[in-house]
Formats: sequence, C-alpha cells, structure tokens
Amino acid sequence: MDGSGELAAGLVRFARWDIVYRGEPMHKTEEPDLPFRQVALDLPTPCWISDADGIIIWANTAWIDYTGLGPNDIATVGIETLHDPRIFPRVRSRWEEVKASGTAAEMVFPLRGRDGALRPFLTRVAPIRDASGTITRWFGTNTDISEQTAMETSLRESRQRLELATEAAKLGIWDWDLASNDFIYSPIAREICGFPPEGAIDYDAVVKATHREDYPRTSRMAQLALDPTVKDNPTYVYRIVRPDGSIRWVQAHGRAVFAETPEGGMRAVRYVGTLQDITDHRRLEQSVRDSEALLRSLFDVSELFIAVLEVTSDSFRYTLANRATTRFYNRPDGDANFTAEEAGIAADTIVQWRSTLLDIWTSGQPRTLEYEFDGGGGSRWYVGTYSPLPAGDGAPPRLSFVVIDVTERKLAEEHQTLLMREVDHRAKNALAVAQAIVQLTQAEDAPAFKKAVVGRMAALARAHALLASQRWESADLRKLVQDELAPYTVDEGRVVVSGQAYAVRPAIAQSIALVLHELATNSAKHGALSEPAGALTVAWTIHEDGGVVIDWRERCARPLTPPRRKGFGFGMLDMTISRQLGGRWSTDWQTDGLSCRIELPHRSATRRQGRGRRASASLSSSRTRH
Amino acid sequence: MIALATEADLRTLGFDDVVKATTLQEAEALTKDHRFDIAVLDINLDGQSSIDLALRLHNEGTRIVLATGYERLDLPAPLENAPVLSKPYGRDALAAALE
Repeated sequence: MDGSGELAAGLVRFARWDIVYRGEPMHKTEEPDLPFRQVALDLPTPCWISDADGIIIWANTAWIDYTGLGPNDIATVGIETLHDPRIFPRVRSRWEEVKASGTAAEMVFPLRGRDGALRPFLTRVAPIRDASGTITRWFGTNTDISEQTAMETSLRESRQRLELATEAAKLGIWDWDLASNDFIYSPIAREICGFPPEGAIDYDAVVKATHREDYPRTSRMAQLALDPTVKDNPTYVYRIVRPDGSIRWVQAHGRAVFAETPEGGMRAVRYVGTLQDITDHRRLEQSVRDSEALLRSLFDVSELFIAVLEVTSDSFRYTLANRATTRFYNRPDGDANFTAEEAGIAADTIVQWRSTLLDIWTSGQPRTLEYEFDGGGGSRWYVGTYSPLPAGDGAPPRLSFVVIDVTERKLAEEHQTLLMREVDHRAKNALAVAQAIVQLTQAEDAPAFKKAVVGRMAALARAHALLASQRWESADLRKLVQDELAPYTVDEGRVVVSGQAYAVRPAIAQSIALVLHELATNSAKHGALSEPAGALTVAWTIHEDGGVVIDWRERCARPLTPPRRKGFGFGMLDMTISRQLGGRWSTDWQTDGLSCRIELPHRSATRRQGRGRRASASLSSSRTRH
Repeated sequence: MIALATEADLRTLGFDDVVKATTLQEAEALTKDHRFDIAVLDINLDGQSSIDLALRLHNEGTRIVLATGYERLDLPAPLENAPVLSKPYGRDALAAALE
C-alpha cells in the first residue's frame, strides 16, 4: 500500500504522457514525464489513473489486455461493463466514500475480463494531490486474487468435508507426538474415550482408557506401527474403559509418521490415527447373530419341512433345506443344495411339480397345497405353503416352502367320519334288534310280556355296554356270563364261573347275552337261583376248531320236578341258538336241578384275520381323497 | 335276532320257503345250490359287505331288497333301483319293499 502511494506521488511529476497500445495513442494528457513510465506500462499488474471524479484517463498494457477495452472504449462503453451488476451498486457507493474521505483504500470485487468471465480482484486506490494538496488524480491497481481465493475456498471446503466425514462417521482423530509424548484428541475422540472436552491428555490417561485385557494387543499393534522396519498400519478392534466404568468397543486405525535421525536411520515421530465407536454396531451385529442362530436352530430343529427351491430349465433344485427336509430325502445333514433328481423324485413328478412351482412363482402369491407324495418311505399326505421369492436380475425363479405331514391328522379325520357313521349304524341296529325282540317275544299276558321284554332289553343293554368297553372288537365270554348273573351273585361261592378266555364276535354277543338271560331268569323263577341254598356252575371249554361248549349246571337243595311244558324263555333259546347262532342245545332235568349244554360253532369267536382286513380297507379308502 | 324277526315277518306275509343265513359265508353257500326269488340282504354283515353277493344274485335274476343302518349308501349302478330298508324297519316297510 505504501509502495503504491509513493508510486502515485511520483506520477504527479509527469507533464505529458502518451499511452501507446499496439502503436495507437490511447490518451494525451498534460501529465509530467514519468521516469519509469515504461516500467508502469509493462507492470504485470493491471493499473490505471483516473481524474479526480474517477474517470479513467490512463491504463497500462496489463489492464487493457485483461479488460479488452480499447483507447476510446472507456468513454463509450462505460465502466459498468467491467463489473458484476449485482455487486456494482456496492462498489460505486464504496468508491464514493473513498473519494469523499480522500484516503487510500482497498476493496475486493470481481472484474470482467475480455473473455467475459468475472474474476475476483483486490483493488487498491490512492489519491494524487497537486502542490496545493487538492486531489487531481487517483491511481489504482487491480490484483487478480482468483487463485488465492480458489485455494482458500478449496482449503475451507476440504476442511469442511473432513469435518463432515468425521462427524458423520463419528470418527475420532488422535495424534501422538512421540517426542513430547503429548496427545491431541479431536472432540469426537475425546467423547468416545470419555475424556473431558478440554484439557491435556497424557500417556497414562490413554493407557488407563484401554481395557486391561486388550492392552497387550493394542500395545503390540502400536509397536509394529512405530517400528520403521515394519511400518504396519492395521485396523484393530479393542475395548475402551471410560472413567465412569462403561465399556465401548472401538475400531482404531493408525499410521506412524517417520523422520530421519541424525544418524541417518528412520524413527517414528508421530503416531496419527482414527478411532470409531462400534459398540452399537457390535451390539446390533451380535443381536443379528443371535437371532440368526435362533432362527437357524428353529429351522433345523423344526419337524416341518422348510426349504428354498429354484426352478431350473427342465427341473428344480433345493438351494436351502432344513434337517427335516434333508433327512426326508436321505441327504446328508450338511447338504442343503441338491437337485430334485438327487432327491430321488420320480421324473414325471418333477415335470408336474416344476410346472406348479412356475405357476405359483408367476402369480406372485403364496399358495397352500394339499397333496399326496411318496418321498421314498411310502405315500403320505402333506400340506405345504409355497411362497415366491423376489427375483434378482436374471436370477432363476425361487420359492420357499413350509410343509407339514398331515397323514396322521387325515387318518384321524377319516377315522372320525367313519366312527360317526358307525355310531349311527349301531344305534339303528340296536333299535332293530329291540324291535325284533319285541316281535319275537311271546307271553301269556300283558304283564308277563312286559316283564320279559324289559328283562331282555336289559340283557341287550348289558351286552352293548360290554362291547362298547371293548371297543366293539369282541366281548369276553366270562364278562358276558358274569354280567347276566350279577344280580344273583350276592353270596360268595353260590355261583361259580369257569372257563378259558373266549372272545365272542360282536354281532352275536347280544344273542349269547339273551340266551344267558333266559337261563338265569328261568333259574331265578324255578331253579337253583330261586332258593338261598341253590348253587350254579357255568363252565365252558373251547373246541379245537374254535367253537365253544357251555355247561350250565344247577344244584337245588329241594327236589325238583321238571316243568310240564317249556317256558316261553326256551322258545327264545331255541330260536337263538339253533336258528340264529347255528349251534345246538340240550337240557336235562335232574332231581337236583337243570343241566343245559350249549354248543356254539367256531364262527362265534372273533375273526382275527378279519380285523386286519378291515384296517387295510380303511387305509386304502384314505388314499382316494384329493 | 333281526334276521329271525324278518324271517317271521316273511312267513306272515305268505312266503313259505324262507331260508335264513347269519353270515356272508352261510349266505354264499346257500345261494350256490339254490335259486331264490327274493333276497333280503343286510349290507353290512358283521363288518363284511354283502354288495358283491347282491350283485351276483341280481345278475342271476333274484330280486334284491337291501337293509342297512347307514344313512348314506354308495350302491353300484345295477343295484341303484333296489329297494333299501332303513333299520329299524317293520313288517309294513318290508311288505312295501316286496311289492
């Protein structure tokens, strides 16, 4: 500033001055001659002289080169064209202030070059006074500061970017001066370590902030980084213990700065690096790992079949399968990637399934299917939900599935339906039997008829209860006998029942119960059960062919006379044994009581093989449903 | 028991030659040697179906009357028009089925 002032003072002494630009006179003036006129003209910095009002009357080559204005242009074009119109009003008012104050000044504003571009210039002006001290001229220089501005801007932007980056990444910066053993920690680094925002940080504080278990490792890392022969700069993770005792996981990355020693070797002088708090990240990672492990174990432990399928050009494959699925296909546990062919699925089934899978995938909607499938261990029923998976770029169609084996449930449902029909059937059958008994019962009068029917119905009901308790599979002969004789066995030893276990066919259990009922009723009326001292033995033997012989023997204390005519009960006996059951019977009236022998054919026993046939029939009927 | 009652009913209705079988085997044996005009068959004989027997007898020209305790029956086409007695049935229903 001072220099340009002197220069301006010197200018005053020039009387006349021709400015030549490319051989043309620019302006003629009465200025005193300038000893370094040529110097000013060749000055690389644009400079000019104006009159007291600020109208430029002289400019050097650099100014003319930059602005592109010719000798007469300034008057005609106007100075405004050199300015940024948005800023010009401020420049003008500042210029008025400077003129009014009459002192040297500087300001920064853009000036337009001949290429039309605006560049920032530092403009310095100084007044030139005559002998009386009146300002007659202003001398000005325009220094292009665009490079300087650009550098400042770039530096500022770079610093902002760094701040932004460290801020966004929560990246702390630390700098260890190994010579002074001083530490510089950025605010974020201080926050991470729990250091106070202000104040010096020493080596002890840094060691103390490192978790005891991690210190040997971090120390080793630092040694390797500072060793000029290693110059390691790894990223490492360790724990920070804050003064409040809380623990943070951090990720550190450091790099040593080396300098030459006087001896000519290399030595680390600084250790600079970053610090990032990854506690939350680790926690998240851990929870993802935990939940992944949980899902994985559920996935593998599940009895459901869970897998991901990929449809290929002519088949499909399993790209993920849980243990239930791999076991189903007899694949080793670890092998979750295998083709449908490797799974042993029949070729025609593969074609059919591929088309179904493609169809589901194309629909974009999950579909639940119920189907019969033979995975090698026999045909079973399954319910599976197949869900299309989002397609990647050009990736083959993929679907996930969750399938459950519903064979047992299906069988149970069918069994239940069967059972309901059976209950209905049995009820009607029981009514039909009751109807038949009423029809077949003959009696002398109405009270006798009623009594007989009620007794026979009760016998039917007892046999029914016995069959129900034995699941309608058979009726134990001993139980049938005991049930009919129960009302008369109050006294121990009066009635003796003996014989091997004999399973009576359900269809005839009621008939045998009726026969026993008739004999017991007769005995209670006329025979051994009619007197307190009477005794009854019911014994049976099983014939080789499966038939059975039942001996009914009564012993009375008083002598008996055989009845003159058979009671109506014996009519029922005959009808049931010989005509319905296809057996034989005989009675022998002895003086001490009745002997009755009943022979029933082999088909009276249950057909063991018949049960098996029925079971297979119900199984095969379950197969026909779709 | 039901067969006995039905047998008695049939005699009352004027059928003289009534033969009764209580198992499927017995019925098959009986129908091997004799031709019957009418067969009254319970469809479920102690767990065994008499439908095959009914079809055979139907093809031999015997009139078939079926009896059952089941609500719903899936009968093969030739037996679709055979009268079905729903248990329990009385003499009147039997008489109507035989008309």
